[in-house]
Amino acid sequence: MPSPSRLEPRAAAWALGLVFAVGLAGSVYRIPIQVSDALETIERALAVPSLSASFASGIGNSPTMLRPLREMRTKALVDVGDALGGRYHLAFRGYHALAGVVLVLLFVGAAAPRTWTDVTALAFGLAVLTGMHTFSGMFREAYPTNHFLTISTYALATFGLARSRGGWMVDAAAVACLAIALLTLESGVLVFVVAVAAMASRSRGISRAGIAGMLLVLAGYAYLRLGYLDMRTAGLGEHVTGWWSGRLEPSEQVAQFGANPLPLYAYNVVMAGISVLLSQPSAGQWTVVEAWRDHGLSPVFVVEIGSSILTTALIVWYALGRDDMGRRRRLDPIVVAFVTLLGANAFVSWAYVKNEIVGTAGVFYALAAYAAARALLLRPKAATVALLALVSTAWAVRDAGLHFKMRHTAFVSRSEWAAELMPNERNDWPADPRRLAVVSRLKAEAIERQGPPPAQMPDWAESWWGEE
Amino acid sequence: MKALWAVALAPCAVAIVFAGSGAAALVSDRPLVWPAHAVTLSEAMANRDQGEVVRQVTGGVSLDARYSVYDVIKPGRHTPSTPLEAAIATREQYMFDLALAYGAHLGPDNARVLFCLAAAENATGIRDDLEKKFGRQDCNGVSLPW
Repeated sequence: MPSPSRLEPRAAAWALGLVFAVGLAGSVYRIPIQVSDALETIERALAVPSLSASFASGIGNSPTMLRPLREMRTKALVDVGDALGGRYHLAFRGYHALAGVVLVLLFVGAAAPRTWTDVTALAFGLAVLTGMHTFSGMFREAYPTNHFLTISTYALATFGLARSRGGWMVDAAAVACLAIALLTLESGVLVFVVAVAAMASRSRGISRAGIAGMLLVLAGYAYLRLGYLDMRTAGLGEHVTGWWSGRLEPSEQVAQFGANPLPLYAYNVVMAGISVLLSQPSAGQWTVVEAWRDHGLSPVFVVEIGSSILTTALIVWYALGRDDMGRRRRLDPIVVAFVTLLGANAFVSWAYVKNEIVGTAGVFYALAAYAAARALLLRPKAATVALLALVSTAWAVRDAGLHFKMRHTAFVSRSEWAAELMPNERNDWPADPRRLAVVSRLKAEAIERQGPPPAQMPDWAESWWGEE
Repeated sequence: MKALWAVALAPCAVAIVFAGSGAAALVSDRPLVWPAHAVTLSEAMANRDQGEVVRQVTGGVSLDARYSVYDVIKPGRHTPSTPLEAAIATREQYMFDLALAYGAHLGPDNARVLFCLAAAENATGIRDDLEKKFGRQDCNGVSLPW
C-alpha cells in the first residue's frame, strides 16, 4: 500500500491536470459551432433517420474518405441536442470540451507522476501539450467534432493500455480503439503505430494476441477501403499547402508537380516532421521568413521557435542518455512512441500539411518533454533548472496564447452565422421545416454567445501570440 | 531543492487563471479573462463584429438610429453615427451590405451623406455601390457626421 507521502504528489498531479483541463474546456465552450465544414455535416445528419443509417451513409459517400463514425457521432450529438430541447451548442461544444478534458487527463495518466519532482515536470509537460501549435487546431476547428482530437485521444489511450498490466480486456480495448479511430479518420492508423511502438519498447500491456487482433482490424479496414469500396487516397491539389516561404493553391500544385508529385510529397513529409520539433514551418510554410522579410521578427516567433528548439534539445539529450540503471533511454517507451509517431504522423501528411494533422505527434512530443524534464530535475543544477524555468515560462506564454486564439476563433465562428438565413434572402432558406428549425436554432445560439471582437483585445497580443 | 518550483510556477499560474476564468464563464456566461464589453450597435459595426450586430438587431435595436461610437472611429473620442456610417468607417463592403441585409434604411434621403462620407473615408467599394444605385452625388455643402 502506498504511503501517504507518495499519495500526495499523485493527487496533486491529477488536480493539476484538472486545472489545465477546466481552463481548456472553458475556452472551447465559448466557441460557437462553426458554419464552415460543420453546418453541412449537421444538415446531412438531419436527413438520415437513425444512427445506423448515418453510419451507412458515411461508407461510400466520398471517393477518398471513409469516415462513418464521424457521420454517426454528428447524428448522435444532434439527437442529444434535440433531447436537451434544442441546445445544440451544449451537445456539440460540451462534447468537444469534454474530449479536451479526457485528453489532458489521459496525458496525466500516461505521465504517471509519483513524486513532487514528477509533478513539477508534469506542469512543464502540460504547458508544452497545451502550448503546442499542433494542439490549438484540435480545439479551434470542429467539423462539427474534431477528428484529429479523436485520433490523439485514442492514441494516448492505447499507449496507456500498452503500459498497463494487461489482460484480455486491455487487448479488447486496444482493438476497439483502433477500429474506432480508423472509422473516424484515415490517420487512425496511428493508433496501431503506437501499439507496435510500445511493444517494441517492451511494454507488454497489449499482448501478442491483442496486436494480432489489431492487425486483423487493420487488414479488414484495408480490404474494405481498397478492395471492396475501391477508394483512392487524397491526391495532388486537393488542399492549399505551404511551400517554402509561400503557399501553393491546388491549381498551382497541379501545374508545378502534376508530372511528378514526389518532390512536393517529400517536402510535405519532411516539413510536417520538422514542424513538431521547431514550431516552423506552419502548415508547410516558413512564415518566419516572410515575417523577417516584411517587418522583422515579432515576439511570437522568438517565443515559439526558441522554446521548441530548447525543448527538442532537451528531448534529444534525454533520448541519447542512460537512466540510473545504466539502460539506454532510446528504448524508453515514451521515446520510442514519440519517435515512431513523429515519422508515421509526418508520413500521413504527404498530400498536404496542416498543423493539426501532426497533432498526435505533438501530444507525444509533450510527453517526451515531460520525461526529459523529469530526468533533468532528478539531478538539479542551478543553471539547468534556471534554463528549464525559462523554457517553461515560454511554454506558459504559448499556453495563454491558446486561449487568446480560441477567443479569436469564437469571434470568427460567431461572425460566420451573420451570413446564414439572411432576412433579405428568404428564398435561399431551407425549404424543409426541420432543417430550417435546426439551422435557426444553431444561429440563435451562436449569435447569443457574446465574445470580445479583436478590437477589444490587448494591442500587444497579436505580436506575442500571432493571429492564427 | 526549492528552486524546482520555478519550473512549475508560470505554467501553474497561467492554468489557474484560465481555469478560474473558464469556470466563471460556465457559471455566469462571462469569463474573467477577456470578457466582451457592452457596445452600441454602431460600435459593433465599427468593430466589424457581425455577430454582435445581428444579436442587437434581432433583439430589436434599430439600424436607423444614431449611437455613440467611442474610441473606434476616432481614437479616444465619442463619434455619434448610424450603423451605416459606422460601416463606412470600416471601409468594408460586407459590413455595409450586412446592415442593408438586416433592414437598414437606404434611400434618396440619406444616400448623399453616405456617398460623401464614403468618398471622404476612401471606402471606394461602398462609394461605387452607392453611385451605381443613386448616381454621382454632389458633396459641396454636405456636412459629414465626423
